[in-house]
Amino acid sequence: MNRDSAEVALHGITKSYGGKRVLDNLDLTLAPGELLALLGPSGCGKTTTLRVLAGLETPDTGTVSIGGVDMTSAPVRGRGIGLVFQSYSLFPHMSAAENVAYGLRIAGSSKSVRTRRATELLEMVGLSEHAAKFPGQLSGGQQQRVALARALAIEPRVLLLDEPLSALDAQVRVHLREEIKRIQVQAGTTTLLVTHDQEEALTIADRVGVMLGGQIEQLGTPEQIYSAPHTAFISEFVGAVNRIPATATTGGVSVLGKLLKISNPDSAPAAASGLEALIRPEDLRLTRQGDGLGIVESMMLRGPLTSVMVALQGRCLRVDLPSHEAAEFSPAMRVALSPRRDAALIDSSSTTPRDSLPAAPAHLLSHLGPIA
Amino acid sequence: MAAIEKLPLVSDGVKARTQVAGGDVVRTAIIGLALVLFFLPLVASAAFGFTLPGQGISFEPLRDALAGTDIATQLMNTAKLAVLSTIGSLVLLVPTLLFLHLKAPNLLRFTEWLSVIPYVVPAIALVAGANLFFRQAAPGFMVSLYSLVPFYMVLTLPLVYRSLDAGIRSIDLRTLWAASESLGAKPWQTLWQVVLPNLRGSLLGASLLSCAMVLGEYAVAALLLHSTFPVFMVQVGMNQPRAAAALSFITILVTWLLLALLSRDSAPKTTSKGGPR
Repeated sequence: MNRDSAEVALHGITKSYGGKRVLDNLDLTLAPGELLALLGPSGCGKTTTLRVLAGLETPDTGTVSIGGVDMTSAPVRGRGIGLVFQSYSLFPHMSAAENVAYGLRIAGSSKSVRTRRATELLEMVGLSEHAAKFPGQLSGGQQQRVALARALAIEPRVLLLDEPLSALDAQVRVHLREEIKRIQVQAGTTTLLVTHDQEEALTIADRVGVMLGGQIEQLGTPEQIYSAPHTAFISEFVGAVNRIPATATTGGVSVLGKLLKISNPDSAPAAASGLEALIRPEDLRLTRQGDGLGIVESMMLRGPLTSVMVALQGRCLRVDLPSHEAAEFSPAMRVALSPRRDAALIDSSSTTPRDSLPAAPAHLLSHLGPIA
Repeated sequence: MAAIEKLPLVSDGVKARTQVAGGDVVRTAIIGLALVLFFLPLVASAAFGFTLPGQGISFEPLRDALAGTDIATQLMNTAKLAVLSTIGSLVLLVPTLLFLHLKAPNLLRFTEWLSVIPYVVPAIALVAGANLFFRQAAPGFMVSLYSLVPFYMVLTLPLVYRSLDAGIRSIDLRTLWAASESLGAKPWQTLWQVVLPNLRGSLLGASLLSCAMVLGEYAVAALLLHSTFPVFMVQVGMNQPRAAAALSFITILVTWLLLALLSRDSAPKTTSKGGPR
């Protein structure tokens, strides 16, 4: 069904609003049929990127091409895109089926074609029995499914999803994102997903682009983004991370008594002191040891994983273990910590509240969940 | 001890109940008074207009007053003016407001301020100014009855503007517009198929307000020497007060019926709008 999916390319896109530069010489290419997620904090320019690609905004400089054709100044309706917004985008005066059929009606398809296609698509999103309902009678999740079906009805070459799940409950969100992935694979449409939810991006995207300050910080597979982030910002944005003091030595850094390679030689600070290694909670090994430096402060069950909070040198570190392994630890126990991997991301010491309040640290901050 | 502690509670409860009952009485009294003050003149004018001393209920005063006049023409004139000014206002304001909301939302504050100016400028000043200018610039213009249309569009601007603006604000215009555009619709298709159906209520409301205002407008028409229905009513009232009272009663009744009809049609459907649940 890989019918019409197109390659999408943005080159050197710059966009400013009232003197503020929102997109800064951005380059982005989507391979035909792939689902690429743009991830970033609010104001990083991810939605503007989508709007530029959709034609809802005109870039100050740069080109947009879809399927090899320059579309930089083409109107929205000529781009062959399907759009799904955060919410409230269904036409309130039309039933679900009419909403889905709208694009075909505009294109002049016959009534029988429209009805058949709308039925088919509503079936695909699992809403056949709600075809006659109006948007106001549907739940938020159902509305977004209809919006997705409506966007797909015109067989777009590119599907643009602008935070489609942000307005939904957590449970619906998880369910629907899997649904989106299934439908996207089935339709084989090149898709750009904009989201601020790192879990959403990591779970369903083929590739993830992390944005900051109008540029793409790192573009890669979810695995690369999570396990081998290029910068401290990405590491902290896409998941929980511990900042552990590190000292520079020849050939790397020493962290918790282990020599590690620096995984980001380009962006690592050159200073020899005031360094921190960024290590994910599941990348720390925890062992019971009578003379260990760490003390177990508290344990937090997170389902299959348990987070063990360990006080170490005035810091509170989080170690994630499979829950059955965590059973052998209990609060106040002395433990030793060591990194599981051979490389770590290095950053200069951040001035987090933890460091500026040395007197208060461990027990208070473990309640605040400093890295949760 | 327990009894003592309970005592204030009980008396509080009693007090609260009497307060509620007292509030009810006051409320009912105020509403009753307002209704009496509102309906008394109406009923009185009806009673005055539709009776003759010694004869009881009678349509004679009305019939006498209307005999030999061309009320039908006046009514038609006013109806034409109402329809034309309403259509004119909508044709002018709907695209303008949509454009402002879509492309220049910053200007909305300014235009909203601008739209109240007709309230501030009295009709007499408007007419005097326009009269001076147009009698020089286009002498033929003010002679035509339809020269009233632009004046009425200005006079109804505050009401029509507000009604339409509120309607546009109640839908997520930008998103709906973008969604429709991405599905291949040209601007006029979006306007016709998506925006106007969702503005139905506010369009009807704006039309009603505009019509009601034109149906009752006297000052401008009289000053410009045009014969509309309100002008006619005042003329009749000068020597046939009973007929004028009867006519004004009928006019109010008809306006109300129109209002009731429109508000029933434009009542928001429960199915028309909803958020994520």
